[in-house]
Amino acid sequence: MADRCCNWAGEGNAVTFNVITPMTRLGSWVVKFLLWFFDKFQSTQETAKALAFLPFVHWVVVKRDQFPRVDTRQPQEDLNYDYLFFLSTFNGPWGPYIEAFADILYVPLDLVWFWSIGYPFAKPVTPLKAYIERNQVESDHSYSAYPGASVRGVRSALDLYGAVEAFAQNSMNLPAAQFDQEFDRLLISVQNKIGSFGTGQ
Amino acid sequence: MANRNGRKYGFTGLFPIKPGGHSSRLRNYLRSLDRHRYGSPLSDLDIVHMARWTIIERLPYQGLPAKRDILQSQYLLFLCDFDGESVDALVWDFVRFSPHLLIRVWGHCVGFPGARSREALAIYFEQCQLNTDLLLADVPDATVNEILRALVCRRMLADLIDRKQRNGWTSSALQNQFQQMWAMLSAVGRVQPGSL
Repeated sequence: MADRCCNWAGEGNAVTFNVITPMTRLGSWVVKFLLWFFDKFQSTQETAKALAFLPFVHWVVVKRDQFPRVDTRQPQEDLNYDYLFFLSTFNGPWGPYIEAFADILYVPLDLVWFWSIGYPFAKPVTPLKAYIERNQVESDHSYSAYPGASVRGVRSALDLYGAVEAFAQNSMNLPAAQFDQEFDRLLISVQNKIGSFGTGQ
Repeated sequence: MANRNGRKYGFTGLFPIKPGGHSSRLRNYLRSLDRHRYGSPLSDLDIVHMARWTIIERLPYQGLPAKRDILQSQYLLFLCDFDGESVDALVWDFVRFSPHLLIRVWGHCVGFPGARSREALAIYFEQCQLNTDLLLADVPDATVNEILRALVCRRMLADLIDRKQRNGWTSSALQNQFQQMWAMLSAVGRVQPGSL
């Protein structure tokens, strides 16, 4: 599937997701301000990060006269609406992803997408899913440099590496018995970060 | 800061596609890239975390009373999250490591200047760039290779623990095995993107 990032074995955790929705001029002005606000005050992103299934998300407002025209022979676009491009990568199946968004992030979801034509609000979730399906565009090719790793897996691995590096610097040349004890302490401190690896993670 | 989060740059670009069948040929080519050994030829670029290509043939229509927007051109949407401060870093890596891919993909797009001149290519990418109003990046300060090395370390440690439990090592044996593991990990330079 072109929307799934895969490794050499055809396995992958990350799925790409593209939703394009139309907005009026007033709507795009408001949404640009909201996105600027969320960007300026990064603490507003903490809830989304706590869900731990979003490696990357792009929110892009494209005004009706901003579709690139690189050659005078290219016909000019003449559109009635501005557009919000919501371009995300997530871990896990589509349905629970939308449900988690609707359940936990319904306030920012409604704040931003209220200005999109036809948006049904985040709750109940069934009309929201239908709206997304109507406006979703499938990727033609997707790539991840670490396709077998989930968001939690990447976070755990980075924490683990830091702990192992510190252990190697401080304990590697201790007497064997003492090394063994320190190694056990290391394992206790990182036991929830070793986990498994691959698409089942 | 728009387009950026920590050490990461989120590029979003819309490239108009040439008329006359280029869109379908480009789609066929992009879909064939899934068969690459490491998931994509983008794995040749060490700075790219994630990327996608999406062909936009039409804009969504919400039904009456909304108006229907008809595009005069089709567009190639290219999204790329990479380590860097500007598009120059991405263009430089494309020209250096994957000029063939540049030509096979963007050769179907209007105004593509070819892969020889970095400056012309950077101008072209900037011309087609959309401002990413908000970029969310989960680990904004870790580079591709730092993440890959960390994932390799996790695998090696898990393997070490597994062997320790199966073999019942003495303290000296464990220490020796850990030292070997750490030496191997320290000797690892570049981890192949797309391999994990």
